[in-house]
Amino acid sequence: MSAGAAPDGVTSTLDLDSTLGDARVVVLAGGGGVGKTTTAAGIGLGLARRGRRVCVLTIDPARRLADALGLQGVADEPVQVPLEPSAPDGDTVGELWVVMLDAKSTWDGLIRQYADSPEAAEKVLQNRVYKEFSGAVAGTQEYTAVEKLHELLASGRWDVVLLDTPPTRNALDFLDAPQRLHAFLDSRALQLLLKPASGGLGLLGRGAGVFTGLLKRALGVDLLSDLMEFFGVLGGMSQGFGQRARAVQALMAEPRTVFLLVAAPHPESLEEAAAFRATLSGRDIHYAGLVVNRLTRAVLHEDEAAVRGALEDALDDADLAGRAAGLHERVRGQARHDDALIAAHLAAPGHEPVLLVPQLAEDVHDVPGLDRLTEHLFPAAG
Amino acid sequence: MALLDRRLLLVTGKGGTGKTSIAAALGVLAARQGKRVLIAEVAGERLSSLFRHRPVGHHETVVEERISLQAIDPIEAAHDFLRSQVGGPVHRVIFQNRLFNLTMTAAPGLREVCTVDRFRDLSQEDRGRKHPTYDLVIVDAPATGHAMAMLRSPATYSGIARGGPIKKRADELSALVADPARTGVVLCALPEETPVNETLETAEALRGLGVDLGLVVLNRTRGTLLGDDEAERIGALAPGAVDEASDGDLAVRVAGPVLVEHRRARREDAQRERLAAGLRPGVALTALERRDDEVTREDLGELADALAEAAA
Ligand SMILES: Nc1ncnc2c1ncn2[C@@H]1O[C@H](COP(=O)(O)OP(=O)(O)OP(=O)(O)O)[C@@H](O)[C@H]1O
Ligand SMILES: Nc1ncnc2c1ncn2[C@@H]1O[C@H](COP(=O)(O)OP(=O)(O)OP(=O)(O)O)[C@@H](O)[C@H]1O
Ligand SMILES: [Mg+2]
Ligand SMILES: [Mg+2]
Repeated sequence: MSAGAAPDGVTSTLDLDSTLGDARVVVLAGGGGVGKTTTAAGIGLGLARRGRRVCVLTIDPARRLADALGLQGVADEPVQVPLEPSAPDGDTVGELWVVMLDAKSTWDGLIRQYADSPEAAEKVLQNRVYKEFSGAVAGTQEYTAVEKLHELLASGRWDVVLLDTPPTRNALDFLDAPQRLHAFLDSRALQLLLKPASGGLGLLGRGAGVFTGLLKRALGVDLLSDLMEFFGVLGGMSQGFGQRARAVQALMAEPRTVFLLVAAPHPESLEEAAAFRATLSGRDIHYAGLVVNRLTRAVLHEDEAAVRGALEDALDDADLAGRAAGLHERVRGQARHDDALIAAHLAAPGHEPVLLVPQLAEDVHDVPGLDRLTEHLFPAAG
Repeated sequence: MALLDRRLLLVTGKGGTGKTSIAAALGVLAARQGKRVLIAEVAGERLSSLFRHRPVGHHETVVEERISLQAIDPIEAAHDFLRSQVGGPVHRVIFQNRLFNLTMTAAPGLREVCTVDRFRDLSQEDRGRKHPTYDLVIVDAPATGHAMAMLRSPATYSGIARGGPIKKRADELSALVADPARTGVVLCALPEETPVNETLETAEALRGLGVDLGLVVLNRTRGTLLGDDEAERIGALAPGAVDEASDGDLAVRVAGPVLVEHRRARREDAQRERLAAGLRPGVALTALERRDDEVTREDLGELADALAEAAA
């Protein structure tokens, strides 16, 4: 049986079985709410069912899914999801593990690791600027996600790690975040600001003292002493961070690291994919393709009258057939929209392979749900 | 207090729930009532293209009769504030540099406070002769988490600052956002589990802050035309699981899609009921139907019609 997204119309061109055959890292990027976490878990389950030892690093999973996977209250620690063989003849199953990322605690761990002394670490952890920074500042979650990825890979416990990512307006934000963060921590301008006396290039000289005084008065916060402390410690770690950023970059460029983009059937989402592809072409990144999730299915080429007639014959209930045909017509409008959008995407020159995943009848919030999703992610195996 | 009779509306919600579309539709609605409206957006710039206008950036720009747009840049907002405090020339010398911009990036809540101060300025009843006055400022705010941080920022900042003009202003801003006669929040939601959970949590968090929740918009709802038994009868025409494409007769092929749509609609009904039950009495809730295509300028009139009753 084929599980292509639409009974007629566009069909999938991306085969995950061959694409992810020997992947060690799979990164799923994409906009908010498109299904990154669900898809990461679904692919993870599919790979585990193929005998591989899999770990899925999730970020903010939906509550019911987190609970069903046994993640409630467990942040930062891998949890194994018990898997029964899917078929009675029982293929050998691998392992499925999931971790829920907690950006703040990963940061705290990094600070402890890189600080010169426990006292120095403690000072940073209490620092006002650090608290702001480690909480919500753009880029920190992305940075900690790749940090965690590193840690999981280094343990050698898994054959493949799937990396779910925080929602980004632009999928590239994710790739650039560690670099930007490192650049920020390493900023020469800040070093100069914070060490006005050291002269160095003499860019600021005495002006800096005046400047900092004014700043303090304008802001009403002695932010500078907090900043100085923050950068004093983090600046010292900057070498460590720099090494990490380079290691991460190398990891992202490895042939066994594969990127997938998840999108919704919306023009903005597909435009994002096109932009992602365009930028990746200049980089050493292995972008395997686009998962278009939650596609509406319908019979595209039959109008309401034909559907009503067919249902009337099958059901012998004219009233019901009429309403059901009306409902189908509504779904068809949406399905045609989705289909046209993807057809246009596939017609564009140099497009990537696409995997079409239909809207399922139920939300995906447990292992049976993920198994249903897996049938569409790995259709050949069905 | 009628929603559009306030001076400042903040439209927020999870990513992709329709904040931009709904902020724009409310703007069209208010303009239709003769109000001069400014729609400000904070995270990026999408509104200008929706209104078929070239990008406006951090400049108040008239794009249609009675409708202006501004895409607020938080760093620029901070400069606006400082400029208003020390005057243009002094400001240029002291704050117009990279060092200051870097400091801004690391300062807890500072950008947010300055952004909220922009809203305050824009929504003043009298902005003097140099600046246009608006009857209503609608903010297409960032997604919930960031928007809440923004609303909290005046109090947060006021708590850590020991003095200075920003602290003084922050106290004013706290009063502005907590005044239901002037400020209201519009929360956008989708009829799905996680978005509904988040909406209910945000509604409570707003209460905690003393900020008035003026309207909840449940966006992209669908309905069914069938009873549950009827839908299952149709689903039974298809041999396999409803999720799978079937071959065969037309009746067999439409059965899956019809049942999937019906179940989805029913699940959404349940989420809508859960949302209605979870909101405090008195909080207005309205639904916007899902449309086949993306929202364009032409659709805003219809969206405005659909919102008119709830906004009255
Ligand atoms: N193919 C599908 N069919 C039906 N429901 C789906 C499908 N894919 C995802 N969902 C549902 O959509 C919701 C959002 O999915 P998910 O949490 O994976 O998105 P996300 O991209 O990770 O979101 P965020 O950007 O908020 O992290 C979930 O409730 C999930 O069950
Ligand atoms: N009622 C609706 N029916 C169909 N499509 C809609 C509806 N409302 C919004 N949309 C579409 O959904 C997409 C997201 O809407 P919009 O941009 O308004 O959301 P947003 O919350 O501002 O998103 P973001 O978080 O990315 O800023 C857009 O393509 C928009 O045209
Ligand atoms: Mg997610
Ligand atoms: Mg928006």
